[in-house]
Amino acid sequence: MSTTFVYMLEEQVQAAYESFRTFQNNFLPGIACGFDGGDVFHVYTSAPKVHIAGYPCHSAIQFLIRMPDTEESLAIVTKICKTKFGNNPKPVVIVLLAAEEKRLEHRVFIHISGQFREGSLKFIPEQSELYSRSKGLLETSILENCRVGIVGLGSGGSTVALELAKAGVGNFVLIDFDRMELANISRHICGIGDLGRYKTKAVRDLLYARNPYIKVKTAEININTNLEKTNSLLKDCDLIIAATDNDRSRFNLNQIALQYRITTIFGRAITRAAGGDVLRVRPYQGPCLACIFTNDFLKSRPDEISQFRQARSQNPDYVSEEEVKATIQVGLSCDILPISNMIVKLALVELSRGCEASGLVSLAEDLVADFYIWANRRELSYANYLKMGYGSKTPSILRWYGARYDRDLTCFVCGDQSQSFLLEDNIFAG
Amino acid sequence: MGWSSVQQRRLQAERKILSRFFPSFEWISPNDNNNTKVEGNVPTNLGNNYTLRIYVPSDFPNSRPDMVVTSPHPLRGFLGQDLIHYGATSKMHTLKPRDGFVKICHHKDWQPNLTLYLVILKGRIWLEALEAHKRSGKYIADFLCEMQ
Repeated sequence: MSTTFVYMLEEQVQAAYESFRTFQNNFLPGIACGFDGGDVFHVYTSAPKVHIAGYPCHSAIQFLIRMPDTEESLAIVTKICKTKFGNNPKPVVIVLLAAEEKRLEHRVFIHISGQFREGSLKFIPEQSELYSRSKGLLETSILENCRVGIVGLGSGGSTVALELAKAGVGNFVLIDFDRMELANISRHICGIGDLGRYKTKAVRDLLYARNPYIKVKTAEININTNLEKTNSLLKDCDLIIAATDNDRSRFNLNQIALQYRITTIFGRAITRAAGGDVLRVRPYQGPCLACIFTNDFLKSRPDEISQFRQARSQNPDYVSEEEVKATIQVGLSCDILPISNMIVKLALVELSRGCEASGLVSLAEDLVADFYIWANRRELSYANYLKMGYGSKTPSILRWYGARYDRDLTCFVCGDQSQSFLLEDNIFAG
Repeated sequence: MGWSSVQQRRLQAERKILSRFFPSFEWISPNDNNNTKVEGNVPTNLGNNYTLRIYVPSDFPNSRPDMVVTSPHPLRGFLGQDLIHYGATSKMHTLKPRDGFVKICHHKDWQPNLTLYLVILKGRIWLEALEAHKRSGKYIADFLCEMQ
């Protein structure tokens, strides 16, 4: 028979031990989930932040003065099982803990189909050890203290959030007012189990599953109609990711970037996700969104329209619902991923900037452009691209191109006039 | 809630431009970003007077300001028809009315680099097209296409 593994959060075990030591509280009911026919169990002393999966099981944690031998252990767990859980057919996981010579001895027994078997107890380490593998390449201690605001948690923004959490970013502000719908499932990192939930909260749980120690603040608001709240949520961020699906929200985030001088990365896919672009706004040091996203530019590279709400807002009132629906043309998840990946790389470069120990210094030397173009297929604005073939000197699909754009000093949003002094007869002050 | 400092600078610039090119326009509730409006008289080439009102959105300049004709009210078209009954139609370049006034469709794709001055200018052009409609009965869109 293969070994049964039981996982517990180290932090919770330590807290339970402190409670035992201080209050002689030697028995704790647990919350447990089983997986794969009793192959693996997860046990918690209180409801975890992570998204619980698996099937529910009974569980208990018993502290002892010393760790008994197998025969005595079986007697203890049999007694607990009978008195606490009766003849319940569900699996029961009982953890025995004993502090001996400054070591916490542990054994775990699982009661399945009327029989006990001993499992192997594993502890999920504390925060400091979770990302030890990234050390050297990324300065995880710096990322741990960074706060990243992500606005828009669709297929693009949710992937960015997850990758940044995996890289070790410790603080997030997630903003989106949408809920998970059936139409989202094919492209989103969240699945059917999250249907109906706010995307913010569903994504937050995925981040906790990667690192339960990160701090996540969520806001289920439309930033276009809640600018003041959005300002207060984002103003202390080290970086903002703008992954929304409409220009109005992008321009509002551009304004917040300028107001608080926060580097902001904008990413989007164009029609049918035939390609996309990524823009890094370094306030007043490079181009802002309005310097690049002019009418002519947007007409030549229209947004991917993936849902009715988005399509409706981009058409005047007099355009019929049928005509609006016809503009919805969705791309594939694999066509969005390269764009999300580029956003993540730029984000890590920005968050690690100034840290010489970072392994991303050479990447920062490569990513000097503020605007990047990506093509998935030779269609729409990429129709004239040459076939990919073997060369690499001409634009082709599946390659990033950094385009040189300088800040437009006549830009009405970030240009010289935007930095003028407020006049004495400023009638707009509150 | 008030305007942010970035927005205040922008509105200051807008005010300066309007005071030069459309001096009759006045700012209403300028420090209340949920109720700020600009309103003023616009004479047409025939010498008729109209009043245009622009609602400055709280996230200005990042969303399109609404523009309505507040005077004369009701606004009459060909053969004295009340234009409000057209509702939202591309034929007349109008959107769903606001506060009971005819709302002009002025910029389909709004950009923060566009100014209130340009909005009023579009309103002025629409009013010229309206007068042509009143004379001929043709849709306003017929004239605005020719003006492009």
